[in-house]
Amino acid sequence: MRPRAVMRARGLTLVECLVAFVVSSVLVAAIDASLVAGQRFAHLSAAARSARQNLRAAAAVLRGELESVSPAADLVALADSAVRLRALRAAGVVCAVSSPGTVVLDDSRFSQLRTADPARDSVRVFVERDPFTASDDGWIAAAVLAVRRASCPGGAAATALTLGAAPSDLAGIAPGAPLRVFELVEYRRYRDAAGAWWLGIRNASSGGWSAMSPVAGPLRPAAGLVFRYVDHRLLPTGVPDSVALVEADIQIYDARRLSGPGRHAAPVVDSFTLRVATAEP
Amino acid sequence: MARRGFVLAAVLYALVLLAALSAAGFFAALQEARIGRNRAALLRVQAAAASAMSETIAGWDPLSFNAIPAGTAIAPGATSAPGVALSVEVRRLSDRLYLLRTTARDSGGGAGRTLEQVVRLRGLDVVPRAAVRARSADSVAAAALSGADQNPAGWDCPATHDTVTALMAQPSATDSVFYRFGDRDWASVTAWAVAVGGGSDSIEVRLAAGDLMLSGVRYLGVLIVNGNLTMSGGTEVVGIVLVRGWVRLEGAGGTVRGSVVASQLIAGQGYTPAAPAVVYSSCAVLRAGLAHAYPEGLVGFPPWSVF
Repeated sequence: MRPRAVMRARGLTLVECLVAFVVSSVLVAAIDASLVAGQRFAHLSAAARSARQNLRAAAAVLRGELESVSPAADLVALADSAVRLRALRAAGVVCAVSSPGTVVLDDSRFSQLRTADPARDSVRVFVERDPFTASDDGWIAAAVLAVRRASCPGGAAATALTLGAAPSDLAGIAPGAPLRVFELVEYRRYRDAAGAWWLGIRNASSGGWSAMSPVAGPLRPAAGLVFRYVDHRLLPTGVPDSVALVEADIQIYDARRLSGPGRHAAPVVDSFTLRVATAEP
Repeated sequence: MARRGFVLAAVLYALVLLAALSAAGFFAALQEARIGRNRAALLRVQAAAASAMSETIAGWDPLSFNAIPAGTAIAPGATSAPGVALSVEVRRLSDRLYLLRTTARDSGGGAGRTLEQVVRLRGLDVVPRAAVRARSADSVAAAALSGADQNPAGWDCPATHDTVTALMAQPSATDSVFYRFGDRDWASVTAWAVAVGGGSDSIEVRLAAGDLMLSGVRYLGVLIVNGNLTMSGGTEVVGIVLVRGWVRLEGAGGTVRGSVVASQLIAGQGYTPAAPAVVYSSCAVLRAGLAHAYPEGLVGFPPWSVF
């Protein structure tokens, strides 16, 4: 007959089994709960980060475009869902006029977001007519007909733009004239084929308007982007000339119903109000 | 049997998961902190560049800035900002236009921002161009005027090539038309003279509150007389002379090399000119009119960030 102690060491009593089962169940339940909570938190964090990055992108793009506009000259149409403007694409100083209508810009002082595009861009050139008075100075608008490489009289690398405008206007352009290159663009909220709302951009070209391209989003449906325009008295205005401040309420939206610590399942929305004072002197 | 349990493994697994979640959270927080730090640096250099631009315009030094030739540049200093390296360039594009460039760079070596702005000198405009613009002038005085553009002796000016009206008579012009100098009327011209005058500059702006008599003196700049002016004894004025009342030439008279605007031009008894009373000089008019000018931004051309 075996010793009783040996038999007891090899077996488990019912009570021991039950305790082990309960303890392990509690542990499994706790781990499962923490895993699920962790997973939800991770999803929520990722969605929140994505929304914030989208907001930053939208704000950076709109700020970059709006802070360099001249309200009187560059704001073309204002609406709560869209703004149409002449967006700055390059600015520089004429170093030579190689032939009537062709201006040469020193590359070292020609700041370009991209190379001027005859299909999309136009320019404004400041013309000083009578040097004895400032009262007849002004801007002339011209189309960009062609772009080519050139050099300034001193040999510096340059870009030559052939402009299209009335010959009498072009004749007034002289070395030292400042020049801005523009593109007519529209930023608006729009709905894509899948039903999602976006902040989009389209540009005017010789063939009309391009298709909308998404800049940031998805936006909160219907009201995820609202523009407001105020004058120097901080009163709402719809007149481009009098705009002193542009505000844009942007709400980035993630339709997934995500929950997290202290948060019931709901779509993720992050919002930002952008205020850009126009820099017109 | 106890060593074959799964509790330890489960706990370790849970700990690893928690560590991974904590690491992810820490990484996200670190990224946010970095983004925030970069954003703060960007805003700092942006503000510094904008501030340097405003400071350059507000602290415009006509004596040095207005004297540089077109096509050249100077690099004035700017008030430094903590942790930001600043540089400023003032480049003259033409007689009136300047291109200002301010660059701010974070001393940490990261963010940088360059702003540019075109400004225009708001000078004293004397147009239409004429040796003398007056409501009336007597024949003796009128005969002593020359509209052929001449540079003052010894001045480094562009070659002259045109001739303007010697006497532009505007007998019926109202005060608001006659005493209009660009966008300034007489009151704002005198206010401008008070604001910029009184210095010991080589090209002066002088305002006489009442009548003024000049005899045998030499003067360079803008002379504004809120009364009548008498010139005698071979006085020489180079620049612009604006007189609310009449200008009387007496004795040997004097010579203005530039342009004169006065209500009347009169030759006094015994006026025996040794030289023309007024010789038009576009170079003298431009330099005198712009010597003390301050800049203003161009409407339609706000500052822009260099791409």
